[in-house]
Amino acid sequence: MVVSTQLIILIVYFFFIIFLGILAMKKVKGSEDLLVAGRSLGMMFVSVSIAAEYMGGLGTIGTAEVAFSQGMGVIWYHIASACGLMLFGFAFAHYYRKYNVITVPEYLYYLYDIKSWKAASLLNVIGYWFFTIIQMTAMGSLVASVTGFDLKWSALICGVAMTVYLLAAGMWSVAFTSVAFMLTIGSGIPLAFWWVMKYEIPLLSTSGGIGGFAGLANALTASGLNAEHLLSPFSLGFMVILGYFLGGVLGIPAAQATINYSFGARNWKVARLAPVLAAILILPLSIWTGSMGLYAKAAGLTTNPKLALGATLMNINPIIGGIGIAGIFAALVSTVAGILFGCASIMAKDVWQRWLHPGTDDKYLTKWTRLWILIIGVSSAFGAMTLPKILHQAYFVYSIRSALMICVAFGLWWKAAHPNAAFWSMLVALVGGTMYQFSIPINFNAFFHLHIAIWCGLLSFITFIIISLFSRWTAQTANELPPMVYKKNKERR
Amino acid sequence: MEKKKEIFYEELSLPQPETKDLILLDLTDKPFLIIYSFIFVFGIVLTILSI
Repeated sequence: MVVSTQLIILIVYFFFIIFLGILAMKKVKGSEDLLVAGRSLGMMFVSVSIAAEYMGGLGTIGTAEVAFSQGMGVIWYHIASACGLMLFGFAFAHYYRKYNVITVPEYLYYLYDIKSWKAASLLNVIGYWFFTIIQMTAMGSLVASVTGFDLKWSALICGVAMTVYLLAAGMWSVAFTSVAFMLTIGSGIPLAFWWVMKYEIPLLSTSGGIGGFAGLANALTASGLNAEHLLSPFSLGFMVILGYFLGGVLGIPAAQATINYSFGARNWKVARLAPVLAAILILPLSIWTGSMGLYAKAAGLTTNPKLALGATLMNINPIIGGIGIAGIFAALVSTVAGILFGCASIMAKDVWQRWLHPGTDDKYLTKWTRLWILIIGVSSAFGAMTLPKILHQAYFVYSIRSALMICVAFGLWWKAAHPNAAFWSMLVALVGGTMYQFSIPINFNAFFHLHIAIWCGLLSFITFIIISLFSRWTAQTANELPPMVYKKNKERR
Repeated sequence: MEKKKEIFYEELSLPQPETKDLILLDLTDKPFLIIYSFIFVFGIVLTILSI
């Protein structure tokens, strides 16, 4: 193991985060505290937490990787994500918060029926369980690049550490530390970016002694690359940018891990405005990470795009690099925590309490939530040891999640939206998306040439409309409505 | 369908607006407002300086 300044900073930072998690333990008194922080989070707290959760492995290591290979067109990733957050804030958040829901499937239970809620619960659990494995692998790769440890063992250690940290205090723990995370991300990454652009680029013999994007362009040209193309905001092409927008706009309004904090907001107005403020914070992230990815290419620091950001931060001033690595680590931890917590919430609240064991009271729900954090966390940590590719599959999870958003949107604004349509559109998106992504039984991508986000969005959209138009409302449909809603209606009459 | 929609709109109209539902910012937000403003200004200033 190589003991560098960067590693020492990372270890100190890790213990600081554990300390904050322990502090948060005192605030947990019941399942509401554990799952939605007692629904008492203020606006700035919620906005900072949402931004921290969203800036994960894809937003940092992933965007640097794309910039390294394909240029600065990656800036659209966070512009699209910001649009998704704003859409969630303006159009969806107040509905979720007014219903006092804890999970997205729970909201579908109110909009449609029991089978839609069960399908949504399964879709979410499968998607987030898989996503937890992906993010734990990304976290392990960062730790492996800093420490020199074996990637598999780094992923396992990070996964187990994250599970212990979340077991401490659930959402209070995530919310407490997310503010510290956002401070680290928001200061560490732009600081490293500034240092690279101002002091590292002029040191390159090929930059002509000047800094900023002009020096970077000189260095890229001297390396035999097309600097004009790589620095263009349109370097990725129309289809990829459209995929980013569809992934962001269709994915975020039903993304349990990201919007969890809005459910914990102290009122619906806070739930509505906080995601919009969070969107402003995440906007410039890919400019910072993408530029550092391109610097790694211009300076010839690595040939592996996945290591671009880590290589840059390990090769600049050790203090600045260490703070930057702490920022990336914070981004990864905040996302893993949010996703693991979101997955365990749905498993405990929707699948366990409401579906399988309806008699479970508050005390036992708290216990079961912790047990599911343990089961999902430890199994994902072992899964992370065996996953060879880090970010390749992440957009697949974003894409199948788009089916949920389509169901929520139709349920809110289309009178003919039918429960059968919600159920089948989720099922078709899950099965169709899996077949497309893993080429079962044939390579669909070679034939259709569609981004996975566009494919899944189209499948669930078309399925929803067709089934709604051809399904009839019968007495049985009304009887299948959630018992709570039906009972209240009967009492009124 | 009418039956379903009738029930749905009744549920949406259930929560009664209270004063606490209208408060956007209070004193507990102050430290987080400072953190938010710092991150926002710090990011913009460093980005402009770097270009």
